[in-house]
Amino acid sequence: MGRFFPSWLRRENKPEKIKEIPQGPEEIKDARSFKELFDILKRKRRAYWF
Amino acid sequence: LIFLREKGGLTGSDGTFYSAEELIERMQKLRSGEVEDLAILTRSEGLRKKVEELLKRELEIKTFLGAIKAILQHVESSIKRGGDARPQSQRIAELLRSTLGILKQYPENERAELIKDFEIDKLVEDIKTAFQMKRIFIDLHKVLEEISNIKESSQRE
Repeated sequence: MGRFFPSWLRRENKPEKIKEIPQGPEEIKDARSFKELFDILKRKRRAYWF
Repeated sequence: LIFLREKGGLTGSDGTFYSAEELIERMQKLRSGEVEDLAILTRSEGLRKKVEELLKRELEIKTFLGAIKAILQHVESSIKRGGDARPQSQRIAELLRSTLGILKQYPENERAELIKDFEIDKLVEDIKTAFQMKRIFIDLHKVLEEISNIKESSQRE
């Protein structure tokens, strides 16, 4: 996203901060609790069109 | 106008994107019992299967604790009548041991939270009161001690 785009658009497309999501198993099958499963899903980054 | 964005979540088998927030909301509805049909979740990457497994485990804990509470009520009335509560203490010890087995499958840092959620502390106090077990029911005492250890080790982290 270059400087030709308005600032509000650049902000919208910044990747979400994921630092605060605790580390744990990477794969859904390895989740030992709902909490771990939720964290895995939050960490699974997917590009999508909107 | 179409934009590309990156976000936490899963892509379903039909190509639909499900955000982490959306999936978590659906899972919480299943946990609370507000929704019972697992089909509200995508099978993608084994999510539905995993949720089924975790729900089953939570239900098992609730069932065990429910059974213990029911036995305690029975014990209370039995003790009042001067009866022997020893057989019931064995059954409660078995149920607590099963609960403990399930608790051990959870990540250590979550166990204390789980004990709180399921009010196991309160139950343990009820059991102690009902049996005055410290002197008499040694087997049950060991299980209760183990539960306390789990709680303490989780809180130290």
